[in-house]
Amino acid sequence: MKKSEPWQLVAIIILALVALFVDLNIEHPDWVTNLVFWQPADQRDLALHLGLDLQGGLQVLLAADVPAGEDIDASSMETARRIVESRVNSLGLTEPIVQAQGERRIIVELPGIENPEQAVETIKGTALLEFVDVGYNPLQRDTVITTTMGGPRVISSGAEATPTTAISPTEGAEIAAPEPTEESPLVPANPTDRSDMYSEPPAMQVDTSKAYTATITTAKGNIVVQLDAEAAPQTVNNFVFLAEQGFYDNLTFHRVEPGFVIQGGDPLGTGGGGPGYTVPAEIGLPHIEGAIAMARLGDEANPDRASSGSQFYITLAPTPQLDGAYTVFGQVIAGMDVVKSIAVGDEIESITITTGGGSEITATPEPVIYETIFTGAGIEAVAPNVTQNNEYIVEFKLNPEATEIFAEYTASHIGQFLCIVLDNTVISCPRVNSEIPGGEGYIEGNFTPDSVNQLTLQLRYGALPIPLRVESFNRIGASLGAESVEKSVRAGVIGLVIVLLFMLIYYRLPGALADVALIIYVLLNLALYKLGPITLTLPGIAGFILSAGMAVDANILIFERMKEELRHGRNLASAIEAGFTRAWPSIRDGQLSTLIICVILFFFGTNFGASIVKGFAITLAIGTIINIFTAVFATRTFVRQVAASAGDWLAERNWLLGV
Amino acid sequence: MFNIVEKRNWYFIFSAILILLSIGAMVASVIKFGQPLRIGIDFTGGSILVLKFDQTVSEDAIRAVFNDHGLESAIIQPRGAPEDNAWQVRTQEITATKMGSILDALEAQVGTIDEDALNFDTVEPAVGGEVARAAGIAILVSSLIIVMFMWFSFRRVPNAFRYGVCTIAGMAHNLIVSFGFYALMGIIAGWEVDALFLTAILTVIGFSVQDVIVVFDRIRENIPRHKAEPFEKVVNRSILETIHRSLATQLNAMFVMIAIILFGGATIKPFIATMLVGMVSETYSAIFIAVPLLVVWEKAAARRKLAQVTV
Repeated sequence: MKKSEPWQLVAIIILALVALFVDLNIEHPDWVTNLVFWQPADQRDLALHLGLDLQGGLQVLLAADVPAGEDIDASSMETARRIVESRVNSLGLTEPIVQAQGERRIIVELPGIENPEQAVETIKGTALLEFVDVGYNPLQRDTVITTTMGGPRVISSGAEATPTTAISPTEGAEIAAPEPTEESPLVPANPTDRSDMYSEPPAMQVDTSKAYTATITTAKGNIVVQLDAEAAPQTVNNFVFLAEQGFYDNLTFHRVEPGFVIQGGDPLGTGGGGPGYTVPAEIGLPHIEGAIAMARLGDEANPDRASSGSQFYITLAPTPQLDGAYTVFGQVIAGMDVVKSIAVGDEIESITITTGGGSEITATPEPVIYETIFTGAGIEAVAPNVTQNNEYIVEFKLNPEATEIFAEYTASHIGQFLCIVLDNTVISCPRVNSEIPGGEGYIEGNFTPDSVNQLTLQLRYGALPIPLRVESFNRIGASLGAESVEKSVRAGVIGLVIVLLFMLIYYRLPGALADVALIIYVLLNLALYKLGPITLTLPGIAGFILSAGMAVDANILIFERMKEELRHGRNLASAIEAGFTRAWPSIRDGQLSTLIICVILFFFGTNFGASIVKGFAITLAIGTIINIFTAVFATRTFVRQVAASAGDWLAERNWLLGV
Repeated sequence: MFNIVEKRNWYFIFSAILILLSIGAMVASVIKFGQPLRIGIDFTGGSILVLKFDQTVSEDAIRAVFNDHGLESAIIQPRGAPEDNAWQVRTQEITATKMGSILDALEAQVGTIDEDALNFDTVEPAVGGEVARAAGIAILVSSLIIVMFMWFSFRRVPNAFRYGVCTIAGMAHNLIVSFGFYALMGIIAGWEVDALFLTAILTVIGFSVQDVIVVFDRIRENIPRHKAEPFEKVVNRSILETIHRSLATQLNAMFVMIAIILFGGATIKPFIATMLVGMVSETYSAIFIAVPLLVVWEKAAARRKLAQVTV
């Protein structure tokens, strides 16, 4: 008899333990889940993925609505798929699927959706492209918003997408005229010209119940300040006003006292300038580290302790000695390291104000309705391009009507953000740097060749390039699926226990070893489903249970052969080897024919919306391959090991071998 | 030695009866539904709605709603146990919008619907037609590949072709019995042919060779060992040597399938039951039809050869 190498046994045991660890329904440590590198980085997990039929949801088969026989452009179909995908993503579901199916179909799977009517409408509906005025608060890409054209066609689902505002500006996106003209009509371009440009403080505009956040942009980074409009309403109002007017743009920090304060906001850059007025004192908040407060003239000249109109300072450390003397109106919440790195002469590039739910503010954001300036109907042409600096941009040209609106808008909204919104989802939020009179412009951002093409497609084909029609759809109630899972697991366990018992009773000791191999078989299968990940459907589970029932077939072939050889008077060792060797051709042929059928089933399943068949084919095929390992290799290792260590003892106890 | 092959005519008669019964069931189905098997919406197009009400409702009340929507031909059947208050309605193809208004009307006129247990499936006739074509191709291709596979496996055995043909005969037997069973269940329980039925049939085709291959393998092995014995005896010996294995394997597969039928979800019962019938038929036909047929063929061929020699 061939000797079984101990390492084989060890390897099988380790493999089984690893599989068991993966199978356990526990929170796996991050470093473990990170090992499944073939899964997308943001979706790595060791969870069982259930198909639509088990978790409930909606499956929709869309087809190009063109006369039969007419050719369908593959790239238009791909564009249509992308548009449908972005619409589906706006529904905020977990793991939706949008796949091309053949040449003229798109399959959409929406897990957990409850209202199929609206879902179908959302998918089919014409895309709406809007240019939306969002003021000074750029929105993050993929934010879902409500505009004057209407709210998102969000449908009731588990994860409802509520309109929210976001504070981070879209990274690097800027809008510019082809030939930038002189900018800034609101405040003079030269900072010193801004000195004393106003005669009185601005009228009250801020809503003290709202949260205001100011982002001070410098070359060294951003400083984010939470403004306290409740404690210092007039001061915050003034600061917000000046920031929005662009008064602070390109002013400097003219004073830095290490360990004490940094000071800036003087148009003259000397410490003696201001906007032309003072703001009444609103003293109260303490000077902790990172407090932002207004500077002022000394008590002698200024007994009321009125604040300077524009000069402010940020404390570098707690300075309680200043408490009660200066108006603190906010607190740095991010970028304290930037504050500490500021040197004399560093420029304030800009200060942007964000209203509503900031990153630190958890108050429920009110649904904001943004104003739509014009829609995609105004776009005449759009094309991707590369600048001399090798940056990707999207160039666009508007029709005369939109050109006029655009020119008017850009002229009066310099420094503000104009969001490009497709189906109520923000694509990008470029900043208006100058008036754009000619109706031509470009959008720049940190685009990749892929993303620039995608944006071009979305701009060009706000509407679907190919009309789509719902060809079939299937809605599955969530509770039906849950019930199916429960019942299938029960059926599987019962079936498996009977098989284990049968093998044990009928084949005794080898049967027990085959049982161990069968348990390893189950562990390996489940582990593979999780690692794949392989989405389990009801037929898939049936395929798995069935394959477990038939997994012992190879063992039965081997053991029957072994018994036969023993009856013919062979000794135990050679009977074992003969059993495995002689049974192999039959095992191989049987498994091969099963695999062939699995391949056919798989292709049949991919051909149309019958993914249900695919699930069965996949689990059955995986089971068949693992089966060769467990039923032949693992069992042989076990049997050899036992025969080697207890062969003589066994030889006298033939009943243990089922003979 | 117990002689299985000798009594082959009895098995042939038994199988003939089985096949006649199966065909009978399909004919009855044609008379009743106009189709040998009730074809589901996966292949013909149409809509199926599965509903669960919170209280007992009458079929007439449901029917009234569908009549109001111009769907007089809707087939309305109770589903599951009576206390489930679950119903299945099959209609011609309807849109999501129309289904929405039907559901609203049902809520208003019949009773509260359990939204979680709602199942609605719509397939366009054109898609159904394509699926049906793909299904036909899948059955043809898999039968062909399996036969070629058999022929290839036994290419070194004299008359490998006969092994292949006998396997097809067994496979045809299994398919007819499976179809007949489904036709019968269509009449009794309203089972309809869907994608899963096709999966069951393709799986039966795949497993049709499992048992045959083991017996044939053994025959191949035994021929040189028992040269003195007539072919018939070698075959009989091979069957007896492998029958333990065939039965043991079959039993295990049956255990799990019966477990799924008894305890598993309702949706896959027809699927697994068809597979079970097909697999039982497969084991039977391998031992009692395919292998004895091979003997008949070999004997007939031998007689012809003998006749040639005497002339």
